[in-house]
Amino acid sequence: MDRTFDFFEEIIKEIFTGSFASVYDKIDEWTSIQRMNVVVVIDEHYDVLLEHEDLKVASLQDLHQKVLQKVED
Amino acid sequence: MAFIRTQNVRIAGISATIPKNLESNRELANMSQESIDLLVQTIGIDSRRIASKGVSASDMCFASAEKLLNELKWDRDEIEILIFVSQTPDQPIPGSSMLMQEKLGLSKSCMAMDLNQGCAGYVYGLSTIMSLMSASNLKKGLLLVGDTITHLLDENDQSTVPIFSDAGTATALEFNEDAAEAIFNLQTDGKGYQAIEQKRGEAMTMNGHQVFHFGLKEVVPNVKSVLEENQTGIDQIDHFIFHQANLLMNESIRRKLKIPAEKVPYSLGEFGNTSCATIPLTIVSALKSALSKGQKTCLLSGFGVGLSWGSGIVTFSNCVCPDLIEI
Repeated sequence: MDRTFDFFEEIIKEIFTGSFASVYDKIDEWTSIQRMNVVVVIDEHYDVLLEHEDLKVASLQDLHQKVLQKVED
Repeated sequence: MAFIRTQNVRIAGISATIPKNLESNRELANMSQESIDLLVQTIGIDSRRIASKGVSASDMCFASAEKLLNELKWDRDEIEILIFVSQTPDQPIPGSSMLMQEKLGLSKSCMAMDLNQGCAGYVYGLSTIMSLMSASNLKKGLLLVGDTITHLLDENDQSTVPIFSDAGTATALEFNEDAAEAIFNLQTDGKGYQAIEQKRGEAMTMNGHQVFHFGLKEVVPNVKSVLEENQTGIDQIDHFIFHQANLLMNESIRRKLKIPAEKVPYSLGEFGNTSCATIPLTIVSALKSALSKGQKTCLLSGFGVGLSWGSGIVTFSNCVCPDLIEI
């Protein structure tokens, strides 16, 4: 499992195409559909299932840290 | 684990009915084209079938049952059990199973009962009727499963309108000593009852994230448990027929279980999420010819409202599936 932020950012970026590309790192602007896609991609890459509350973080870096913490748990 | 095993019951036929009225997700109001594209790509639903206000779940189940019974040429007096599974019955009292028993011309010796179940309803209903038939040597049974969920929705709710659709189905079962054993594992988590609910006088609501989280967390271990209990490998199952929730969730479940894509049929694109009716509707629309000849072992898995979920391994042998009916 690649735990680097670069890898994490890359798999999240892939979800956000077209005019949505600019919001890939703005978590509070994600739509519910985008959030579901993020939950699935994180579940499949890290085996971590995020709760709704987990997505209430300020930045992509914070989300990455949260995922790594859950991997450790 | 609530494992249920049933013997000597064969699924003789399955039929399904959908409303003629089609609504396309490509024409959803108040959304940009790009948002619509993302939505359709994610949920995998292009169009939905919407029952008009005068059409009920029981109307569609009745049409399915009539067609199936005529095709099977069954003597209706031999039907000894009828179960109607729905969250949208015709009226609160009495249950729609009683209305169906009368409308279908079944005898007084046929017991009839309702089950209020949502997306896991087909697996719950099938395991219930197979258990009762197996335990009591009932000759023939009818399982009617359907919903008009769209009648419960707020037309402006973008979390439910693009997903839900209507259908009614009928499954005919008969006592047969040569029938293969079936196994089910049914589960419930009442703590999640608010995830999908309709309060009296209000529209149905769905907490999308909670339902999504539940599906990803609970379905895979439930399916694995049934396979393990039955000592069956994924390669021994011909078709995995999942409740048609949405494409993102279903495909994630499929990938986690490492099931080849060709073993997992979909009806979602054309017919949307028809609640308890998705499994039989998928069988009729996508597996009609595959199940009509020879013997096929299938794993059925339903999950949703309740929260309830369950999986079962059943064998289809020369199953009669009339063409999909539109009313």
